Amino acid sequence: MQSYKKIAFVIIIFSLMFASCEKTFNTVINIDVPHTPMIAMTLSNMTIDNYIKGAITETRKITGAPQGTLSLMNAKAYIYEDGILKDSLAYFSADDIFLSHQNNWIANKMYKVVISDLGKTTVDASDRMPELVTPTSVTRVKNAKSFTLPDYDNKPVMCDEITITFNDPPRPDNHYTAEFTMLDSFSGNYYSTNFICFDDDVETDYDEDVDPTATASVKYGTLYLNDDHFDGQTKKLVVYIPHMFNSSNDTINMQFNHISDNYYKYVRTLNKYMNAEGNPFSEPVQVFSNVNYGAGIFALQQRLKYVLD
Amino acid sequence: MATSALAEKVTISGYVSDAKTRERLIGATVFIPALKIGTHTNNYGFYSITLEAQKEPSTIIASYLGYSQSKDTFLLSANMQHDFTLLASKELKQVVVKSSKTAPIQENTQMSSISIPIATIKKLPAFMGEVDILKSLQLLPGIQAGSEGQNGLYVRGGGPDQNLILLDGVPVYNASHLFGFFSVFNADAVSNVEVYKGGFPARYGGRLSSVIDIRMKEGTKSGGIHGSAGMGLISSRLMLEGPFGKKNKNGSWMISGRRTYIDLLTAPIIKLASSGEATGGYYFWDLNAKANYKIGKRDHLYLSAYTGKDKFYAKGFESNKEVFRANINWGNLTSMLRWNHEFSNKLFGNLTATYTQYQFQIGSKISTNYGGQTSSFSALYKSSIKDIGLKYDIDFIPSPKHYIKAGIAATYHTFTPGAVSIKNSDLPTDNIDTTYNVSKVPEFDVYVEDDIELTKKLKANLGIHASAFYTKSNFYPSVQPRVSLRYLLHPEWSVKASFCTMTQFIHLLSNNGIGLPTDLWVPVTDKIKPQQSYQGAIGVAHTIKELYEFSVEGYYKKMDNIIEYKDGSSFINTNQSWEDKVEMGTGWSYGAEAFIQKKTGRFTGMMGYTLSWTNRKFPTINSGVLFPYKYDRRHDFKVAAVYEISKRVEISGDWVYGTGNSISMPLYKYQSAPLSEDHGFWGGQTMYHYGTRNNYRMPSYHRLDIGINLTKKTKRGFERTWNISVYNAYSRKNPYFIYPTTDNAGNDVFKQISLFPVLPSFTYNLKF
Repeated sequence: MQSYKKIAFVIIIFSLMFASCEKTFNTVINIDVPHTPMIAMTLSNMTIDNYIKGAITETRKITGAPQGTLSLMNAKAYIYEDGILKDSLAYFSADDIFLSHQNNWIANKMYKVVISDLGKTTVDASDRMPELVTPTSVTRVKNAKSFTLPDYDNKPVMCDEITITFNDPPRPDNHYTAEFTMLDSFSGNYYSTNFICFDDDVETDYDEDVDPTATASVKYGTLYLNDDHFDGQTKKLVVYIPHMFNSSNDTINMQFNHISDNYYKYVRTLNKYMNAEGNPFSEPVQVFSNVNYGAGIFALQQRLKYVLD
Repeated sequence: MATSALAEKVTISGYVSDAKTRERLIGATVFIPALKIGTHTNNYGFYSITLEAQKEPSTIIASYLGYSQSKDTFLLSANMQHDFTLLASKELKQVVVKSSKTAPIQENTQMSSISIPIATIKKLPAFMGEVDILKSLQLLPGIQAGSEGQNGLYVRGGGPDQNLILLDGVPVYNASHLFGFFSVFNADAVSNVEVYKGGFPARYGGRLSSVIDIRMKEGTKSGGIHGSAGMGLISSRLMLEGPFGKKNKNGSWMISGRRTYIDLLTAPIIKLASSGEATGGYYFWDLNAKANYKIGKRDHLYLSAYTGKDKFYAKGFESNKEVFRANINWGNLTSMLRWNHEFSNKLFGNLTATYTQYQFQIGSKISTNYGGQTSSFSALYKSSIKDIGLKYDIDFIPSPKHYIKAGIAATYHTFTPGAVSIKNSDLPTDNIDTTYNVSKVPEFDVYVEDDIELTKKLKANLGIHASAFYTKSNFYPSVQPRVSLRYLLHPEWSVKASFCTMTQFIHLLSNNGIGLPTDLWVPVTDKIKPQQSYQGAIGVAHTIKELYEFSVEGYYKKMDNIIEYKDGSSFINTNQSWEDKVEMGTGWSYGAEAFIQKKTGRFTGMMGYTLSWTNRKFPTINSGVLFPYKYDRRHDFKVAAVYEISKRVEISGDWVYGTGNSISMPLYKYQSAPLSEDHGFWGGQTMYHYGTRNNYRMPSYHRLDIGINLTKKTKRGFERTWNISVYNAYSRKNPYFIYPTTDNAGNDVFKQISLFPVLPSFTYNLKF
């Protein structure tokens, strides 16, 4: 009898436990992180006309309405050259962007953007204008080589050979980008081409491609080049452009840029961020920022465009 | 002095066994009170005490936790052999309390080590009706669970790959069933569990953070066939054991198996719900077997094996024909053949051959039939690790002041981190059958250790473990000194200190530490160096009134060459070598642990608290800045207790509290864009800013489990037990993970998922 009393006592304890369960058995709850809005920028001399342009927006807490366009159209933005005021940015509502008045940014000068807006902490970001590195030669040899690779169904594909030779300035952290687009003579459209490259100094946005059958030498998108192994030397870069849909008579456009270290860090982390987005197994990527007291990037580049017929 | 040196030495040796089953007892104490000398049995129940020849008879006492003492008196004037048999306390009519104890904690040189009796583990509340050995270890200080329900162990800031989990001396690479919710160790088949968190004896090597030495039952040597069976909510178990050999005395065997049956119940329902177009399910099974045979007065053979498999499957049908199939399978196979030889009453040797294998595969197949023409496409991804090993170990006990262990081992590893097979019946030329990064590498180990009594108060365990690993063009040698010291301040108090270095030649590529079967074991390479750790600890140990064991320890551990996926990398990206996806860095862990345990009496239990810090640093991850490890847990408190209300009723409970895990959580969002208009200027792209890695603490974790065991002896002498357990009794919404999504109004939201609300379960156990 005594033991039954004990069992009854245990059952009562169990019942009390169940009764004290937290509200419901719902296993999903919302999480938030408090945040005070700050100024964010994405500014660069991003087009061939060399004007500094981009977005000036505000940060928001992680939950709530999607970001959308939140341009701070009344923000005051000034550009300093080696500490001396040089220019300001104006807001153009038609394109929802901020644009500089000038486009003569001098190599090796330090530029600083200072942005203020009512009720927000003033932010700033600095970057040095890279030197203009003009290739000593850019050549295109049509139908130079044929490759048989799994990426092209193990069928021979004829390629044009493009060789870029340039002198790297004797300073660490020089970074270059190259992009290749082709004019499709039938459609009249430009499209970004794949390329084949065997240079170990070359990185691309898609080095971690998910295709297990892809060949390491076949590259996609923007080509990045670090001077870690050729600092201060003459660099000869060879890439092969496969003939995919067209004949070798199509024009190839090449954009060759000398980018700042800030630019490089931003675009590389941005690309990793984009690749990791939606992958629950990836560690989140922190996109590089050089903005003090705010978010985003201000980065400069020297741009050169080549048309290779 | 001269007389003492010339005095004749005699040795008494033998085995300590369970009186009923005659199974040997590991770690039992054999003590001569009058001479104040003693020892404990090794992993095979063997003991040996060498002393000066006596002129008067001496009483020798053998004792073991949960058993009555056994006393015998002999005139120790010549070498002799004597085996002790101890009767389990529950076989006695009265509950024995004080006489059932192992060597007091303060007398042992070993620190940072805990042995948990399997009987205690079985009494604790069960998760979904399954008693889980690894989950029970998570109740100890310094050993943390990763996420909710997981059996991965994080010991003193180390990762789950840094635990050497041995089953009868054979490494088990993936100790998880059902993505880590259950361990592969069937409690019915296990006799002893010993855990080392630091101060590692030289006989162990190959992992940085812990050793979990699990021994399988040998099987009863008395009577006929005995066994136990259990039926729970998700699985059933059966264990049989018995003697064999001449007059049923020379050998014994044990076989134990279990299988989950959720799939058997759900598969027909899924098929019915999908109008016969789909079915699917999940199950796991495992099988343990062991046999031992005495082949002579001094020789014993042991053979043990474990195999188990998890399988997820889904099938699709059209017109009753299978058109789609997908499955994920993983499992371990371990086996061991051991020859024990007692060279003399002071020297005991073991020759052991081992084999262990872990294999994971994921596959799918699609079949089509258009106008009578059939075609199929199948893809299969496989990953595996296999080890073949041979080792020889000796125990040499020249005098009560020395206990020497030494050994040599060779292991041949075969790593197959990834193999892909793609077959297309329409385009056979596109078929792929590729294996990536296969490595076949040898590893060699040699060790020697001596447990020395330097003075009556000062004892030391000095040892050295040396190992070597070959890669394609590199040879990695490693010499690892091990030192443990104990100074007896008082018969009930001692101060202990230890220092050890460990080297690990294998890495685990894991994205999130939740014990996915996709985690890949990979060897060190020319580029990826071996992991190394240096750990120092100091503490005090105390026994209170022979009932409570109390210890406090402080520790500091540094780990070099640990690897972590680079930002944005994951195992999914197979085009890149794993070596390019990871980065080597350093980890630090330090803190203090307090532990109190009561092992005997009607009320037994343990309580532990850990205060710790664990950080990591890598060259580029988190911009090269130090960041907290995901399982950095400032406070960790655990309490577990069992109370025997009567012979028939036992209640148990445990409560755990831990600081929330560190995760990378965005702090705010902003609009961003590429810096080249060649890509088109895309304003309005939402970017989340994370700041630093693992910058956010999830809410703290706490949980109460309770259980009751109702036992009754049947008329036939069988023992039947109903176990009722409640996991997460107050239904705490403990965080499992947090993910971003959008709500119905299109707003960004972050949701915290909790896995288990209150989960009652019951199990019916029968012992015969």
